[in-house]
Amino acid sequence: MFENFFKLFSSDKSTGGVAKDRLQVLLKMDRESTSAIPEDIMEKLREELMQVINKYLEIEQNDLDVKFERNTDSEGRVSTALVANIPINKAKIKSK
Amino acid sequence: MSEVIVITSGKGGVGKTTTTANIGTALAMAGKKVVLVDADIGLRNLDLVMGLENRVVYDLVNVIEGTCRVKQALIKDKRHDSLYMLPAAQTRDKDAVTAEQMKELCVTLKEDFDYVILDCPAGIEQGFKNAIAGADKAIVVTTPEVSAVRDADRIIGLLEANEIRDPKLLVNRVRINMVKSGEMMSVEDIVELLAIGLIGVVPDDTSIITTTNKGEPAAMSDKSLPGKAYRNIAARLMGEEVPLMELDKKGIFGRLKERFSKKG
Repeated sequence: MFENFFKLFSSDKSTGGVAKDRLQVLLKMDRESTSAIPEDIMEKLREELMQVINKYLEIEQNDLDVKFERNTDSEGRVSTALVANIPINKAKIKSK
Repeated sequence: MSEVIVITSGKGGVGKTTTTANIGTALAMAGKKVVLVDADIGLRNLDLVMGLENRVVYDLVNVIEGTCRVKQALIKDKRHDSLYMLPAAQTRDKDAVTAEQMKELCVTLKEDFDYVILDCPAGIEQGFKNAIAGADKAIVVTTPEVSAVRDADRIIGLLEANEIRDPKLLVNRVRINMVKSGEMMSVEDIVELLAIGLIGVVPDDTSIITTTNKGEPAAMSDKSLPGKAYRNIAARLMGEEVPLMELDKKGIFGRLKERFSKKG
């Protein structure tokens, strides 16, 4: 019976902030995984990239991280870059 | 120099058609030669919002298929000297035309108009691809709601992939009281999230419903706050620097600098 009374004092006030925070995380994830490049081509790209790297460095398949990064310059021009992250601290240099 | 501008959003129902109708009307009121193109084949609505639904004879698909000449399909809005509309086909679907055909149509229309404004369908499929094919510029419409912003972001990525790199943001249906109480994302929040340039802000207002009921775009009315917002947006498109409108009707804060910030 007092629920409505207490609701007057409850804070729904920062739901806008919650929305913004959620979107911040989500948009970052969305941008890294979606792009105009079809998934099957991305798969082949990853595979072949691994092959090239494996010629010189031995790295774990799972350590190769290929994703998209969207950048906006100061004039609002949007561009997307393909970013490959290859940690080499654990990699072994292959001797010829 | 003619411009082809596509009004897009991803999400449906955020105000693309309303925006197309009002920006087009405002530009024509400023003396520009404008043609509005309803690219939502199968679900035509621009004619209804413009109040021109009784004058549709030929449509976009007729033109592209060569059934009629462009001039036969264009509907002149009698309320303005230089405003025309090309309706969508109602009985076909979005695969009735190709992107290449849309591109050619835009090139043709550019010859006779200062502005060609395309009302893009919702979604990211063929309808969207067709609508953006001939565009030089894009306005991405969103509302301060999570789904709309997420979809707008996807659209921005797709626009960039199709060589439209400098899209402008329009935030529609802003409820300033909810923004002030923190219950709605602010324009600044959305600009920060989407990271593109802002072309304008349109407040949520009953005059949009009433003017649409009548088929008289709000931009024609002095009393409509959204109408004024759309006229300002048209001015910015023409290169004028117009400060963002004060949305707080009560004016308690007087002549604030136009900033929509969320105060704690």
